[in-house]
Amino acid sequence: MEILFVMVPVMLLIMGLLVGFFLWAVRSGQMEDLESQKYRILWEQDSPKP
Amino acid sequence: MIAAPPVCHHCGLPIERAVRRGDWAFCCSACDLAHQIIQEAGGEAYYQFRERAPLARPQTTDPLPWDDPAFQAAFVRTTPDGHEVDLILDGLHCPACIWVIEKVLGRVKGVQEVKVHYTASRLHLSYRDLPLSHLTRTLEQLGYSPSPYNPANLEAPARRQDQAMLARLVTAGFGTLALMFLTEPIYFSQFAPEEIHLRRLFEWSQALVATPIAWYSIWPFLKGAWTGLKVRTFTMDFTVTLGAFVTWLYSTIGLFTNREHLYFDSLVMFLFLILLGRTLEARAKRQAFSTSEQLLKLGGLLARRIQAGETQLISPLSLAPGDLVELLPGDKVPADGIIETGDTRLNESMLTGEARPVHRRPGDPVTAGTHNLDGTVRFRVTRSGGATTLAQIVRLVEESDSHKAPIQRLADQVSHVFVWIILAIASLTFLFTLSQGLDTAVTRAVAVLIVTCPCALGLAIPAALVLGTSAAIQRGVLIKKGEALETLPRIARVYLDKTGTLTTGQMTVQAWHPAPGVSVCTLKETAKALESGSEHPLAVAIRQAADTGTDLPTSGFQAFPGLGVTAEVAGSKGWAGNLNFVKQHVPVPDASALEALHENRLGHTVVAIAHAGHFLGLVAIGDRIRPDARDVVKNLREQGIELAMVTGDTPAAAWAIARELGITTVHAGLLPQDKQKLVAESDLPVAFVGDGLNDAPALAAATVGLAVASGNDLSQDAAGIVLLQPRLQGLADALAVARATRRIIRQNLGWALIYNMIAIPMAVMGWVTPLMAAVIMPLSSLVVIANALKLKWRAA
Repeated sequence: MEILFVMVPVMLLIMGLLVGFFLWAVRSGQMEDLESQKYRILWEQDSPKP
Repeated sequence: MIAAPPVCHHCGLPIERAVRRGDWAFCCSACDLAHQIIQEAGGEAYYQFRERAPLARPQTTDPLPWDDPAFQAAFVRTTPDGHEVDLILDGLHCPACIWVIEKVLGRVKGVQEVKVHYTASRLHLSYRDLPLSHLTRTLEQLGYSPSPYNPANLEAPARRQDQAMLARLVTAGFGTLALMFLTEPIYFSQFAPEEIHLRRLFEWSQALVATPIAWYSIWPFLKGAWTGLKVRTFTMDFTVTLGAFVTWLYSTIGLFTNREHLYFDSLVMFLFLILLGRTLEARAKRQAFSTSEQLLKLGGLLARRIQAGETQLISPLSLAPGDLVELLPGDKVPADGIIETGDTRLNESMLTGEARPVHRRPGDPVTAGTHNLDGTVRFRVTRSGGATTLAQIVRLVEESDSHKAPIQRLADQVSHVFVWIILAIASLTFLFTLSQGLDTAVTRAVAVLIVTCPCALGLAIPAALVLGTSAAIQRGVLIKKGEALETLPRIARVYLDKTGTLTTGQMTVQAWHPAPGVSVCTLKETAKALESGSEHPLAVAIRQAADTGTDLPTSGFQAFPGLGVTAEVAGSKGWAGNLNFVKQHVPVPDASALEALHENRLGHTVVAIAHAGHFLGLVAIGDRIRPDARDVVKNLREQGIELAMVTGDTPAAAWAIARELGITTVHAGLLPQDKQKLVAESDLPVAFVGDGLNDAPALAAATVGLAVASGNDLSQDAAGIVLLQPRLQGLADALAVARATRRIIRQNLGWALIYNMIAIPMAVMGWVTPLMAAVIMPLSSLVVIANALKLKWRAA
């Protein structure tokens, strides 16, 4: 059972990394505009800065 | 409790290295500057009256080319007096901000008008002889970051908040899972005494995971509670924060003192659920309040611009006046414009409520947001982006938000008192339960704190009003002032304008009176032929109504202004015009003369037709009553509402219409100021329905003014409600929606009351655990919103 002393911290570490990834995704704005992305690939020039 | 670190006088954040000036300490020079600006403008009172500190420093974001004419072209409007612009502001956090912005900017030389739309986070500026960058820089320095008002921008501040909420929610959810992992061994296994280290491992891990996540999740509630406290107001955030903090503290202390029960898992799960509730509320609110967003999205996301012979696919927001745009079948029109080539049919129901396709040819206008049906056209843009009719409607809709209905203000006051009561009950519960042990006492008190829901109160009325507005729009009724929706059910009297409101304002043929021995067909054919050369409204009316197939060969038109026309029809001379005019050329039978008198008494104009020496008959032309007017009048009368007609037209014409509709009171021959006087002197709550232009004073004077939007009248400013569809049915619809809204408000308030009256005693008695409370409380807010959503769904 002593292996738990290793496993639990490792688990916490991995979870921390996962949460970190998620927060990075949010902070870098990847979750923001899901609508116009569909159309952005069709546009031929930049739209005005939002 | 630990002594709070010194905070910045401007932004409220803790100071690490103070910047001092006079008696004040700031956290940075940006805050110092902001304070200076406010001080110089004489706005010191802002610091007294603001609900909370922004808890954010003024940022300098990447400077936008504010003064560049190309950049300005999309959102700055030029007027004869100077310039007008709408900006989106980030960082508005309380009504005191409105005041300080309007004060500071108002003092700048050259600024003519400063208006903040709080709910839309939008600033309207009108200025002259001043670079725009000067104003935007001041805004930045105060801590309100401006950006051009762009339909896409409408969503920016809300989006940012959404993102933050999402991050917190997911983190809390993650935390809940993690805590479940870490707590399960303690619940479901027996630790032998020598395995105490294992138990400690789990307990400490719980604390390690729960603490940062809890503080991260509680942050928005903490901010809300803190700033509420600073002005001695207890908000619902405070109860949530208190409950969470007590739980955390209790568990942490328990960790160090080897208590058996720790509540870290409950803490995080509770926070997760609270956040979930909040996120759903925000989303429901956004769905409910997203009329503006929906309207803007109607403008479509793609436009086909033709430049130098090639077609480019771009965003509609990039279109500029003068661009040539191609419209294919199935497209949404991306901007206002005028057709150059091609013709097509459009579905303009989004604007007019008429689902019947409208035919458009070169020279005809097209409006952003409407649907192109089956033709291909090219049109030139006249207005795009924020200047389209669509965007104007959106602005009108938003303006309706900034008026707070009286009942809403009452509810705000009540919820403040409410929180005091809750705290008292929670404290008493704690004290009285102390005898059963500290554990129990704390749990009970926390449960009481969490289960109460002043949010139902805070949400009940605004939700209903906004959803009512939304439901009304779906029926083509634009509620511009929220109080109109609340006052409308109390109306006891309605004054109706005649021309354009009860009638269509367009001339149509009311009757054909052929002379004895003459067939209707002959009359129609001849009339049509004679009037085929004129664009006079009477001629147009006759042409439209003469539905016979044969077109008689006609030539040699001659018009006699005020009298009539003559022409050669099928070889013989014909006359059309005044009875007196025609009388000069052919004898008129007595029967027809009598009919003419009769029609005149009805208020109709009579056109006499003669051909080849014979009198053919009369055409009676009048203003057409709106088809639904009769039903609406009957409907209103059955509801016990007093009706009267008000008009500037002659009594004869007025009474003719009144009799047809069953209206028994008529005030005729009135000038606009007479109408206003009549309305203002009414002893009963009165509604005035008019078509805008000459009715504006009366509309403004009425308890509720309803403008029938037939055209581009901007005097709709005077009315609290605008009927977007050219039908009187809108009045009945507005009343129905207003009544439904009032009903929903009462239901919501009732629900809030009942819920609290049941839930609080249950929590005091210990039948509700903190966890259950955390689930029930957001549910009750959702009930309120769902009930209000009924308004929207029933209208669909």
